[in-house]
Amino acid sequence: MLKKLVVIFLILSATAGLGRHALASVSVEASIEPSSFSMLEGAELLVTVQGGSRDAEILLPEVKNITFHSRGQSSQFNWINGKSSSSVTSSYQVEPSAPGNYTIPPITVTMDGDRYTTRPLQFTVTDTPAPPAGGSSANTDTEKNKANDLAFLRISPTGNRYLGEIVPITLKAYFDQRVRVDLNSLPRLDGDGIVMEPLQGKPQQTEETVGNRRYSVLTWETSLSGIKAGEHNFRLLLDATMLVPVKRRRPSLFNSPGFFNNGFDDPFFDSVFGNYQRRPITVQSPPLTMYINMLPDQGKPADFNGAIGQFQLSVAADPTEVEAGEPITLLMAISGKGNFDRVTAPTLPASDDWKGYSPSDSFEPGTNPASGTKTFEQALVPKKTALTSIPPLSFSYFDPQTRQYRTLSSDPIAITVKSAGTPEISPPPVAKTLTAAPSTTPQTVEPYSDLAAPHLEIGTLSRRITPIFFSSWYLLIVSACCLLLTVLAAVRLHHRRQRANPELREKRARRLKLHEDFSQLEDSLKQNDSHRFLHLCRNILQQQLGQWWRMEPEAISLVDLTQRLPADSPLIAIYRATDEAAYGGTTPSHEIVSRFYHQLRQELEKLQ
Amino acid sequence: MKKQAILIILLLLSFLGSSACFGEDLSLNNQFAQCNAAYSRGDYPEAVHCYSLLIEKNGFSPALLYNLANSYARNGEIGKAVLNYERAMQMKPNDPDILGNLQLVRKTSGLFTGELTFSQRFFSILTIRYWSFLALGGLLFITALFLVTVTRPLGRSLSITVQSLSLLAIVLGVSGAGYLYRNAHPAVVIGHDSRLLISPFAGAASIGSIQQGRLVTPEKRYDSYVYLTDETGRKGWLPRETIEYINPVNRTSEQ
Repeated sequence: MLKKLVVIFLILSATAGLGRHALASVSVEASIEPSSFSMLEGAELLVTVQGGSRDAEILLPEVKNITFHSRGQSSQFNWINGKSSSSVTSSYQVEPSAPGNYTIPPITVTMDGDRYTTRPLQFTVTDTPAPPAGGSSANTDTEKNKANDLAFLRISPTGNRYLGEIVPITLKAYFDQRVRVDLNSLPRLDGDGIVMEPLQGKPQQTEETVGNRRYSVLTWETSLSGIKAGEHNFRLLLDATMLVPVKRRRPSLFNSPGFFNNGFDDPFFDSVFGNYQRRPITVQSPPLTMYINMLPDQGKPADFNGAIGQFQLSVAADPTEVEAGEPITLLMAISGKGNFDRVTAPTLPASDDWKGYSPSDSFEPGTNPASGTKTFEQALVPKKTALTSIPPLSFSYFDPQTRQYRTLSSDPIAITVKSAGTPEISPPPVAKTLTAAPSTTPQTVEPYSDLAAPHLEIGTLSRRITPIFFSSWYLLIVSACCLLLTVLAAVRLHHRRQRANPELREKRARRLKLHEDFSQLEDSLKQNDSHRFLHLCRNILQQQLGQWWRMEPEAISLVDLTQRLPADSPLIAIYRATDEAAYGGTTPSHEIVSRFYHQLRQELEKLQ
Repeated sequence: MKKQAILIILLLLSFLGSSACFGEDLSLNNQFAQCNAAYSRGDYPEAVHCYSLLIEKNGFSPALLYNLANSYARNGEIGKAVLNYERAMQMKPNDPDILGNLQLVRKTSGLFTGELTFSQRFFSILTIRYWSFLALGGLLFITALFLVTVTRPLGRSLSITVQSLSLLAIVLGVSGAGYLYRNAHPAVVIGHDSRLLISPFAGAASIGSIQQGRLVTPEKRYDSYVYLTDETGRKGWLPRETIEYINPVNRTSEQ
């Protein structure tokens, strides 16, 4: 034991001594590797605290256009020829956002209340991509900003529009082919008052040369729509992760002169063995402005429901020969380009001659954004036989090109309404022809042909899909465990309390002692040894009453018993008999002794 | 004699019972094979109908849901495909086919979810099922330890180590399962050409369409419309019939 203490003391002393030694010679150094690097590469800043500990607080200064990302700490401890040294090196990834010459001001390190500073560091960020020239966007004043980007967005011009008007746009995302990029989102709109139709499906992938650089281009066709009048500034954003190759910079065994010198300096090994740094970027479009006008009140038709665009209307009825009370299916197709969500079914002039039902609708999108055909199907019931035609139906919309409201009207459709019961000559079936509705050709492309094959075994069937922690067996096990733990904890607590309570402890000890004494009494009773029995009785009474009355057992006498116990207590008679046996040598008969035994037991149990 | 008769009756009953069960299994497997045959010959609407009927009559299984999802995907119904892949994932989270096809369908349909946060990445290490198992394992271990120590006390350091590890497993498991359960989007958009509305009525202005297959979290209901948030954070009203709950129990409890 002593040896162990000595060893521990020596180790602690040595450690304390080393700590003091280390603290005595603290120095701080900073370095950046390499000191010249391109925007694509980044660099590593190392802050080394010689003789320091991990508690050292490093305060990096702010440098415009430079971001430092902590990459952790490493510590080193050397003991050479009895001389020790330790150092802690903190590493930071240096991420520039613009090229140029930079100076990192002195870095402050605080340790144990003392402040240390490094020398200023200078470095150059180079290899800025050459600015691309030209481009399809009309926004020429933003070309210089875009030129410096490795990725950028462009959209077709938007101009002045009307509230609720659908503005088809072409959205292009350009990515420099020298950079690997993962998309984290689809392009999204950043701005108020304008909403963009979410992009769907795969974008078209092409390549374009902008200036003297090749770009991979993703193109989406979508549309914008103003939901609030006024001038709105907005941008389009796209979240992506750029995989920037990080050069291996730590000196390695292979870089040391004379040992495989230069063999591994080839940039090939940077791409094969080097890491890629994942740098999240937000690709942006230049700031854009869209002016949203209110629709004019002048000339607004009564049945105008907010449809804006260019539309055509065609109406057909089937059948055209019916009996009164029989329904005619009216097919109304509105095709063209515009905000189809506001296109409602053409209205039939109010009349008592017809009973109309609510129309159902379906939309078939066209090849261009915001184009397609919305078809309404409505049941009409002629109430009179005198009806000869379905009256013209009208549909109103606002044409943003002519800046005027327009109302389309269908031609009346001739029908024959026969009275019920007239013999009917069945006409040839009328084909549902809609001149304006574009013919749809079924697509023959098999979608998702590369899905994994179906499973052939049906497996175990279950009526419910629930998380496992809601299943009955799980809940049962958890409940059982919790119940068991509660019971066990209660038992433990009870035991601990008992062990900690001196009264309980004493009571338990007294009970044990009494139990032992009575077994001896029983033995003496069986052996008919009245003398020993009375001697034991005296001892038991002194012990038990002594503990009870907080007195020395030997000090208890017959006087104490007569004073403290009731006059008719059998214990007094028993004690008197033990006195007589001890000092007079008289011993009572076996019957009396047996009676004493039971009385003693009864009285002492009462006391317990 | 009487005993022998009882024995024969019991044997006969058990034989009849087992043959009935066997016949039922055979019939179920035959129906499943017929559904697979419809899928194989490219009759996807028929396959969808067939698998749906099997589910309606017999309940869910990962294979049934997965095949149904494949049929929907091949039939161009992306919303229902995603819905059934998600359901299959709930029952068999580590099945590479289910996971692979779900990712393929989502990627091909442009259903991006954006960059994951640290907590999302951390809790995605395990599925909700395995976080639950971790918590249960920790609970069983600590209960066993308590039981053992009642009769036979362990060393203090050993006891503290085991208790700490068990508690860590419980805390991690409960946190993981709770986080994933709380943050999981419980419903999928299945309607074609659905548009998010700014108010819960048909003529309300739209804030844009929402793709079928988007995972959404319904927040409140008004009339036949549901106010929800989709996985990209957009909020708006959608007609109730354009979404479907991944867990069918939610649907019934909502109604």
